Order: sequence, then C-alpha cells, then structure tokens
Amino acid sequence: MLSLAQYETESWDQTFRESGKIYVVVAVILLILLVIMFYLVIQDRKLAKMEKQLKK
Amino acid sequence: MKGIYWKLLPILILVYVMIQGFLGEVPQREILHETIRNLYFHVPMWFTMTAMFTVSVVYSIVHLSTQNAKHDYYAVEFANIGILFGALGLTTGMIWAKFTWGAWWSFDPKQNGAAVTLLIYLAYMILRNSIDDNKNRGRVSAVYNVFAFSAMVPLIFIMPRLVDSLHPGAEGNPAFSGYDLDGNMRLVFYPAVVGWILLGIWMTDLRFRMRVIKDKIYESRF
Repeated sequence: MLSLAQYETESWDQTFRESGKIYVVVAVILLILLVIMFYLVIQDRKLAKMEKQLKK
Repeated sequence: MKGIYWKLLPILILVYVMIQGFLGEVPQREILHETIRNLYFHVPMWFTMTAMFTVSVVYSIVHLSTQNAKHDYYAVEFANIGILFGALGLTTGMIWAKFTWGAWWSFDPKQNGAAVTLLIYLAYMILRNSIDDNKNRGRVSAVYNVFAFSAMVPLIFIMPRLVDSLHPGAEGNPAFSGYDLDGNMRLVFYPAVVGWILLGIWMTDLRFRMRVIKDKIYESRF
C-alpha cells in the first residue's frame, strides 16, 4: 500500500483525484478517442498505398 | 479530397470537445443534472446524420444527370455513414431517455420519426444490393434516395414539432432555446457538431476509396 506521504509528493497523481476523480474519466475517453483516430489514420495511409500501387 | 492534413481538424476538435465537455461548467437543471452534457454528444450525432444524408441526396441527383459511377458511390457511402450516426443518435437518445423520461422507448413522436427514417434508409441499402446490373443500380437507388430524403424531412423536422413531445423543442428548434443551451455550452456544442461532421466526411472518404480500389481490381480481372 502507498503511504500518504507518497501521494503528496506526486502532484499529477493528486490532480487526478480532484473533483470526484472526473479527470480519470477524461483520460480514459481521450485514450479511446486518440486510439480510434490513430487507427483511422493508419487505414487512410494503407488505402493511399494501394491507390498508388494500382496506378502503376 | 486529397491530402491527410485536413483530417487533423476533426481529431483536434473532438479532443477539445471531450476535455471541455466533461470539465466545463454546465447549468444546473432538475431531472437532467449532469446528463445535460449529453447535449455535446447525442445531438451532434443527428446533425451529422442530417449533413451526410443531405450530401448523399445531392450526389444522387448529380448522378442522375451525369450517370457517373463515382457520384453514385459518394451517394451510397454518405448514406451509409449517415445511417451509422443516426443509429448512434437513436441509441444514445434511448439511454438518455431511460434516466430522464423514465423509459428506453416511450413512442415519442421524435423517437418514432427517427426510427422510421432509419428504416427507410436501411431499405435504400437493401434495394441497392438487390440489383445486379451496375447501370440500373445507380439510377434506381438514386431515385429512391430522393424519396428517402423527402420522407426524412417531415418525419424528423416537421411532424414531431406539430404534436406534444417529451423531447425539448416541440415549440421550435430542439434544444436551442437559452434554457437548454447557455453561452458556455455553445462554445463546446458548435465545435462538436463541426468535429463530428468532418469525421463523418473522413469515414465516407475512406469507404469511397475502398469502393474505387475494389472496382479497379475487378476490372483488371476480366
């Protein structure tokens, strides 16, 4: 178990525990959103590659 | 729609919407409480669906005069993504309704209109896929798309406003009065609409390009 002193030294950890821990939800949603967007970018680039190959 | 850079825009906008949507100040209302934040997520689904269906019907009309297969492909894929956002709008609305109106489905005019609209658009896809001949498929489905769009307008925008509804906005524009949407919320809501529409265009672009590639592979085989 972590001691109270450890919580006080890590400020980012403290921030995430404020306002009913809503920041944790925001972090989770941002992660999901960014991974989905990253996935879309990858698909986009794959398609662009196929388009190039077909042109040849 | 060349280049990948404009696609950064929906990513940045939606990241802003997700942060500000959860952390921003919202008015305190009875019954709604924190669910008022759903306005940033549920309502843009319908805006995006409407935008996709509108672009789709324009491409269908253009296809009728040009007979160009690419216009037909744009029409189908915009309608496909429109159906996706419409389905999300309907289901997110049901979840919200359960905790504010008390039931998943209360046969509210807005719920019914939205459900019938989605069924009409699903029939568009079924009709399309049941025609083998390429030329007829484009033309018949373009004509049907014009009908589907003309059915959507009264079903979603006119009829629900003529009768009593649990949904806000029976007296005018849904959820656009000062009571439903204050200045602070507008700063998140409008970017959310733009962000989701841009994402919808991007998704359509991907599906359109897949269709073109498929066509080219098919042609090279025969």
